[in-house]
Amino acid sequence: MVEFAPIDLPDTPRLADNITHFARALRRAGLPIGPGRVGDALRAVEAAGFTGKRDFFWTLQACFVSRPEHRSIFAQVFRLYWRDPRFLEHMMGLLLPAVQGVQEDRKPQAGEKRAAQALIDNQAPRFQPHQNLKMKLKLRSTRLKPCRQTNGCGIWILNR
Amino acid sequence: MTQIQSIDALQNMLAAQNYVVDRSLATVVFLSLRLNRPLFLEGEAGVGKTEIAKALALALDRSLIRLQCYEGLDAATAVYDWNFPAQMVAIRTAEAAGGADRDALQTELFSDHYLIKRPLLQAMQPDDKGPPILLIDELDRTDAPFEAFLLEALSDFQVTIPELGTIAAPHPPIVIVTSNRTREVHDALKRRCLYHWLDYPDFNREMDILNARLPDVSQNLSREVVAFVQRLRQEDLFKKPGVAETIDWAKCLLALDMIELSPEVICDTLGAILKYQDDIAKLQNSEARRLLEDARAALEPA
Repeated sequence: MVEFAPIDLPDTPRLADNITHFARALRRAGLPIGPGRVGDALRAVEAAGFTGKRDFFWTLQACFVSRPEHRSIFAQVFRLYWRDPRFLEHMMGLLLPAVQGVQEDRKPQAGEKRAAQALIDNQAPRFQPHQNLKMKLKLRSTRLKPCRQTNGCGIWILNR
Repeated sequence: MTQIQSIDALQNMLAAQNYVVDRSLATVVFLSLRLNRPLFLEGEAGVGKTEIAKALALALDRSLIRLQCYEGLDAATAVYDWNFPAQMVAIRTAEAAGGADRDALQTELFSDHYLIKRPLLQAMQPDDKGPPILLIDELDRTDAPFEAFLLEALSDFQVTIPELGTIAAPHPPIVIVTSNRTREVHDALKRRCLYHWLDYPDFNREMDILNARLPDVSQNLSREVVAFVQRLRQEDLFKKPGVAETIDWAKCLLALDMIELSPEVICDTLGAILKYQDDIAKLQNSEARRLLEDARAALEPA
């Protein structure tokens, strides 16, 4: 028996609003979507009578995508928008200048960054150079010279 | 008019016509039926864009009207034309009989009787079986003026014939537009439609299609055929083989009583899957052997 996590159904359903916002996100990602298409999508979702997310995906794709190269962007924005809130955090990370080692090593898929940008663009605070980053850069710019003395483990010691 | 209740129902109806449809396409077709929206299908040649219209016509028991597009197609060949020779004969016979009434003759000449209905007009005529399915095939082969004309015709499903007046469809037909994407079709037209891109099927779906179409082919042979074609599509070819080619090829092998593939057999029957000399030349003996080995290796774990 499969157990589903309890779903909190909101008192005021907002699917129409959410689809509209979704369309805006797609527009920011560069897909040409006019207001007419949003209306179409709402009607299509109403007509589809789907039970699974798969159908929801194909329904929206039929309305919002009109070129094969837009499919990957659509898929990524869809994934971000309708799925995992935690994934959004990961995408925020993608947008910040990467500090090696802090972030898990995962190569973004095609269209992922563009999708993230479209969703987060307005929300994310402007990037300000981070204090730690500055320090790290400073460290890197210092030249490392081999020292005659090693500390026993064969590690180079910084020689100023 | 029968309403299809759900996407699953549609999928089963098409499966009964031996058309294996995946969920994405079924969803879009279902929507197009429900919302009375034209369906715009794009994809490589031979992935079953035209077939879906045929299968749908059979499944819904509707007439299928096909408009094959080509460069230089104009409204006269797509919508209507006057039967000029018949009109001339009518004039001559009226003259010979003598005492032809001018007005009566004119109304007669431009009546339904002398009108040649081309596909678009046919699709707007009432049909006993219900609204017909209008297949506008390979739209990318026409030019922009015709596309603009089509845009108008598809938005309100009516055409105006100056001599007869406006003819409107009592029920809008089910429209399926296909394109091979040799050029980009204008966005305005796509906006009126539900868009779907048809890809080459994956291994399992292609197996299902082959089994549905050619149940006589042995499992072993069809697995090898599909694996080989799937492998072939990864090669850099001028024209990759579509599903239609896979079926043709399997038919050829069936006719030759083959039980399994060998490089020699592949080279002899390559004409069924590859249609360009350059592609065929690329696949001579050693290359065919290598691809076959690759394909067999891919089959191993299953």
